[in-house]
Amino acid sequence: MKDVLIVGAGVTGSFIAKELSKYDLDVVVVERKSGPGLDQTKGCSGIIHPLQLPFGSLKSKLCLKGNAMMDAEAEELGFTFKRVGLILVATNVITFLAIPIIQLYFRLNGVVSKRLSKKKVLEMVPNVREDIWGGLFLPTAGVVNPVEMTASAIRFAKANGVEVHYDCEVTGIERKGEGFVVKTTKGDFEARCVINCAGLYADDIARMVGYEMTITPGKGTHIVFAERGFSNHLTVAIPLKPNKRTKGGGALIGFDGKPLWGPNLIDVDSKEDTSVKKEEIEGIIEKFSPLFKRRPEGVVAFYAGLRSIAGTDFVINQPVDGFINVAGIQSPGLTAAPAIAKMVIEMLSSRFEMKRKEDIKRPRWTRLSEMDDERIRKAIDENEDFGEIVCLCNMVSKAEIIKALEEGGCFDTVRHLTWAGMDCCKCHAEIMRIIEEKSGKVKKEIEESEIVW
Amino acid sequence: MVVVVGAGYAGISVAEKLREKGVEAKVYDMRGKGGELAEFAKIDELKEYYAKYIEKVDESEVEVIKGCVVSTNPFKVISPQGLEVKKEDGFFICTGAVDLTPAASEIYGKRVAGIYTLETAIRLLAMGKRIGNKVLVVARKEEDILKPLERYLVEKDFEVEVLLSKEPAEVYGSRRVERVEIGGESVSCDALVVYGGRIPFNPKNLKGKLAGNVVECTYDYEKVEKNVQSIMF
Ligand SMILES: Cc1cc2nc3c(=O)[nH]c(=O)nc-3n(C[C@H](O)[C@H](O)[C@H](O)COP(=O)(O)OP(=O)(O)OC[C@H]3O[C@@H](n4cnc5c(N)ncnc54)[C@H](O)[C@@H]3O)c2cc1C
Repeated sequence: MKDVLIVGAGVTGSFIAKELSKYDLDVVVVERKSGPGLDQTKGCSGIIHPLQLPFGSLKSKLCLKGNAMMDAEAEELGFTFKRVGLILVATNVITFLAIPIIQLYFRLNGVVSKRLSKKKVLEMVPNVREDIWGGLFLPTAGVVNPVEMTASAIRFAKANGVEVHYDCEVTGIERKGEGFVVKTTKGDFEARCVINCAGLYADDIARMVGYEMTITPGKGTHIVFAERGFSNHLTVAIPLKPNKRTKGGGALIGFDGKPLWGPNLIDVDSKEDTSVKKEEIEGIIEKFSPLFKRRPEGVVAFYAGLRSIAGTDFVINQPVDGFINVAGIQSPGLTAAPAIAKMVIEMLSSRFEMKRKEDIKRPRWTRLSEMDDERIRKAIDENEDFGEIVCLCNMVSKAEIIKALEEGGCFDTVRHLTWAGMDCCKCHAEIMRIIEEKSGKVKKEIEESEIVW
Repeated sequence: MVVVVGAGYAGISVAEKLREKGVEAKVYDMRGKGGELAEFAKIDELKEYYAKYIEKVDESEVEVIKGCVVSTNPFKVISPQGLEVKKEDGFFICTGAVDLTPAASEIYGKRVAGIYTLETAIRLLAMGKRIGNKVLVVARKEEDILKPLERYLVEKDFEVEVLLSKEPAEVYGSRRVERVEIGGESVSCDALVVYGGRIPFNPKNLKGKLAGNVVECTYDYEKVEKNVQSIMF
């Protein structure tokens, strides 16, 4: 009998697993996809939000808390996190006059910001149009690669004893004594506690213990451009009227500095509908272009993600003794994940003794692209695969690709963890060759997996 | 010393020409000799089609050093032997071209398995992989390589349709490509190969004299050859 079974290795489940791995508990994670963070989490924008409206809601509180925790999390888990900051731009006199009020409102709710003159905005984002009025800078906004962040948490959890099963879908849950029997496509698991972090399918899982809820998918589309440096900050025009359902997206940047425009919010019928429509892309370009003198150069990719929406807020509760829902984790769930994990630990502390382990392991990524010459020499000395560059765009070596395969043998996982092949297709075939060489599973990669652009 | 970065057709030709002029150049390549021609050579129909160029590379006695040049000033090479940093006198950048991504080629719809750029498709075929069974090739512009490639795919029992079209395309499918809608038509297929054109492949922005496909951005090696000629004479 396990102590805790977590359904779903999205960012939420993975951070809970990571936090639980610090205690003397027997924890297992089951995930239906072939790697961590490949559903909703992969489709998100990767922004560590500085705030979430309305202040006072659960998602807002957890967002602020998660944001504040992020430097320590990145340090502990070894994922890349950059506080690039967000510039709210006043494009007309009305929003310009509103800036002091917005700033005061933010300050009263614990969010720091700095007023920017027109000159300063133009200095910070040289491509912004000359006829803007000014802006407000939110320095706590940051960027991550969501899959990397998730996988780093899973890697930490595994290093500290958590068991993780991929391609393992939960199909039923039955009560057994004080605990549960969780039926999966890879057999039955018994656990004292079940934590439902199944994202878009959290309603299905909740129903298995008799809790009624409905998750509706809200699609968000993005465009990734090639021109790094187009803006070095997240850039968003202050809306005349805020939308209650979405922050409205913006001219964002990805974890690697490439411009990332979007997302929009479109209600869709299917939890699999991550299709990108031409009109959506045109709509995004139309919406964000007016802020700039020109468009960023080169299109790299389009992608869409589905938010799991259950009403207006997160649903974190314990409807049945020992069964915890962490559901409806829409935006800003990525930002909130570390804080959600702490909250769930609190909820579990009445049930388990929660004894902290003495020796906690901290696995690291080794990234050639972040090493100086001396360290590169040393790395190659120790393992010559570091000297074999596979992806020149992002300076990724064969050694890093082989390492990434430990976190799930699929192409997408390798790409997101190592950043290889995120700019062009030059190394895609080579990555698959290495996957085949190491795991012999490339047939699956070609015929079933999500080798996608 | 003069350095040539890239040992594809252009790099080898440049080094040969330099040698004729009495200049010994060092040629580096992150993978080995031949560049993408080495991939083409593994596919009979393409081997025949590019025979002239493949032979030239094969016959060349220019020595290729395996190593990835990551910067020119200072000159830095990473290889399994380690990291070399030094100063070199002049550079020819012959790093070739890369296909535009599907998104840049106006491919919309579902991001499912089975969507390849022409370049990746060729590389996978050269590895002996099946990229699907019913292949739709969408080309945004004409490229002669598509004809021998089509012959090869037919020979290998793929069902193939090559569409030359500028219409935006939309991919449908749940886990893998199932059909593609393009120009009001629906084509059922399990692999989509996209050719939207090529752009220079020089991500590290190496500085020097650019030669060959990094300038021409094509699958037409006559143009690559002409470019090298115009630079070297
Ligand atoms: C377009 C978009 C943009 C966003 N941008 C941001 C942003 O910039 N910043 C931010 O903070 N947040 C953002 N979000 C929100 C963020 O992505 C989510 O809040 C977060 O990813 C939720 O993580 P999760 O782990 O709860 O869900 P998921 O990532 O969906 O994880 C759930 C996991 O459960 C698995 N699963 C489901 N059913 C089963 C089953 N039966 N058995 C086993 N496993 C199962 C799934 O495969 C999945 O991996 C965005 C969301 C979208 C859609």
